[in-house]
Order: sequence, then structure tokens, then C-alpha cells
Amino acid sequence: MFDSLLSTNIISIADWQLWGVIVAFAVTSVTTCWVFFDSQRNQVSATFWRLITLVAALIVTPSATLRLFPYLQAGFSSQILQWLALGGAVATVISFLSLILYAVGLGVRSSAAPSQLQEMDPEPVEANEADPAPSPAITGPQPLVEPTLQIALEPEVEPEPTPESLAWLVITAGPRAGDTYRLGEMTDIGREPCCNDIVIDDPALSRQHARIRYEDGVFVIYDLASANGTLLNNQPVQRAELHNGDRLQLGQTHFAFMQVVNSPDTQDAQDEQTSQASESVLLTVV
Amino acid sequence: MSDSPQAPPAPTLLLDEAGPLFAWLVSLERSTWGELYALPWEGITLGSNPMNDIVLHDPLASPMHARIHVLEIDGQPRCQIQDLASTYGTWVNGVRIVRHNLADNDFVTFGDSHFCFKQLAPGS
Repeated sequence: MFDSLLSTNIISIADWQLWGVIVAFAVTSVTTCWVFFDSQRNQVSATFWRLITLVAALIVTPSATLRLFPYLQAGFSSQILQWLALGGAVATVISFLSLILYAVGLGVRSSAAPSQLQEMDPEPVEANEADPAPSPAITGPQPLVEPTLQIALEPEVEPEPTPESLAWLVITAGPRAGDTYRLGEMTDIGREPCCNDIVIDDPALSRQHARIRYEDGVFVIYDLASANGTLLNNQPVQRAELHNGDRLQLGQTHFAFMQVVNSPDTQDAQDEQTSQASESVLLTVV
Repeated sequence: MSDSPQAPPAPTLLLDEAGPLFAWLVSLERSTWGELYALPWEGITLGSNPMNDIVLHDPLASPMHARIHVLEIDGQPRCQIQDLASTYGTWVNGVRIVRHNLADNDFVTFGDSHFCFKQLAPGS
């Protein structure tokens, strides 16, 4: 019914069974390796998918072996061979689906949780050396590619906070006037609850409207191709630096940008005189 | 609803109270770094006594250390800080004060507790 590799006709196009077996074996092995190494590189827990793909590969292996080396089939009844073939086909499909679902799960996870420092300068590899035994449960061969991005730093590694890193958006109009939102390294603003740090239920806001990043002591706002644009002090902007007291308008929501300015010496002389004057007044009263 | 006796009208205040004051104290203490305390129109008191609006967990803070109240100056609401005869004093931008009109970005220290006063200028 089929040519084996032992015959002089090595491969024939009509050998759909042989091709099927080769494809099955290739798919399951590639899938298993992909899931294992990708989850290890991304430091993502994917035990379930690893298990499924591994089991699928194990199921395909005897069927594939018997097809490729037909002289081994002498010891098995045809029924067993058929079951093995069917199991192999099913395992291949499951393996392929597992790969897709694993990738989807990764995609959902990465868009749902904007990690704090991941998009800033990638930390050098020294962090990897300091931690000799990272988490993965599977003791497979380590990937040759060193992970250069750390997902999250331990709290004690955070640098000293500086006063100018303190900034907020304040809603200045409407029913939520006075609400403050603390800005971090990266803050997304929009209507969509899933992917934004600041969620505003304003129909004039896009789902992903703007992003504010902290770049070297300055907060910069980026308009994320929003429908109604981002206005900074009544000027439409794509990318702009924010300064204390700037007014922002996203859709129909008005914000003020508030930042602690670390320069206590630049107080107006007026205020100095005021304080001294009021001091002297009170002293005489008392 | 319309038949029940009306509550007496609220006492009229000097300032137009519509909306928030848009003034805050920002904590610069390590334990509460960046925490915002929104200042209300009726003012606040600060000190180590738990009865205060802002409790200062600082050995140098007096039980009744200072208070901040809102005045109208030149038609604008301004926060005035007043030291309540505290032992270690109230300092604004490094100057020890008894009574001072706070401006945006003033650094205020109660004993050894550091804050920054923030106020939004009226809208552009």
C-alpha cells in the first residue's frame, strides 16, 4: 500500500500516509519545542500547554516510527496500527491548537498588564547573573538567547524617588472635578477598561487615547492616534512635554497636569516679603 | 417630599464653594511618598494627636502643630498656614513662619515631616 524508505523509491507524492506522518511528527515536535522555549524565555508559566504538547508528541512518536520503519510493524496487529494512526492524527491537531491557544494567551496577558519598566531601557544582563536559578519548572536546556528584559524589578531595587517624579493629572471640570491620577513611568489613558491606567467614561475619548511617559525627569504625552485628538493648552499635539500647570483636553474631559517642581529657592521675592511681613504683624499682636 | 419641612439654608460662606478647592498637600515622607491630601474649604489641622485631619507620625511634631485655612485674597482662594505655637516650628521653603500664604510648589515642613503644597491656578 505504501512505499517505505527502504525501497529505492524514496519518496512518492502519492504516499500521503508517509507525508502525513512526517507532517505530524514535525508539527508536534516543533510545537512542543516552541512552547517550551518560548515560555521559558518569556518567563511565563505554561505548564498546561507544555504538558499537552509533550503528550501529543509522545503519542505521535510510536505511530510515526512504525510508519517510517514498516518492518517493525510485524509485531502489531492492524487494529493497533489503526488506533495509533488515529491517535497520532488527533494528537497532531491538538498540538497545533495548543500552540495557537498558548500564543493567544500570551497576547492577552501582555496587552492586559502594561508592565512598569519593560519599555524603558532594557537592563543589562547583570541582573541575570545575580539570580543563578530562575524560576522555570522545566529543567530543559537553557536557551542560548539571554533574556535582556526583566519583567519586573524587585521593590528594593527601585531608585531613589525624586520630587519631580511626582506628577498627577487632575480633572478640572465635570462631575469628577478634583479627581487626581498619579502618573507613573508610563500611563495609558482611554475609554477601554482593560488596557488603560486611567479609564474615563467619556464617549469622546478613544479606547486608547493617549499615553504619558516619564522620560529623564520630564513627562511627555503621546497622542495614540485618537479620533478627537489631544489638546495641550488648546493646541493639538502628537508628542509634547508637560509642565506644571499645563491644561490638557482629551475628548470632552479637561485635565490639568500637576508636577512637583524641585526648586524651593525660586520662590517669588513677594512671598518672602509677605511671610516676613505677616510674621512681624503677628509678633506685635501677640 | 415637597410637604416635608425644608432644612434651614446652609450658612453663606465668603467664597463660592462650588467645586473642589484644587489644593493639596503632597507627602514627601518616605513611608507615604507622593500621597495626596486634598485640602477642603473648611481647612485642616495637623499634628501628632490622632484628632487632627492629618496626623503627623513624627517625634518632632507637636500634638497641635499647625493648621491651614482658606482665605480669599485678590478674589482668589488662598490657603494660609498658621503655626500653632509648635515646639519645632513650621517651615515654608526653609523659613520658619507663624502665618504664611501658601503658593504652588511651597515646601512645607512640620518638625521633620516634609510636604509640598500644590495648588492649581484658575483655569486657562
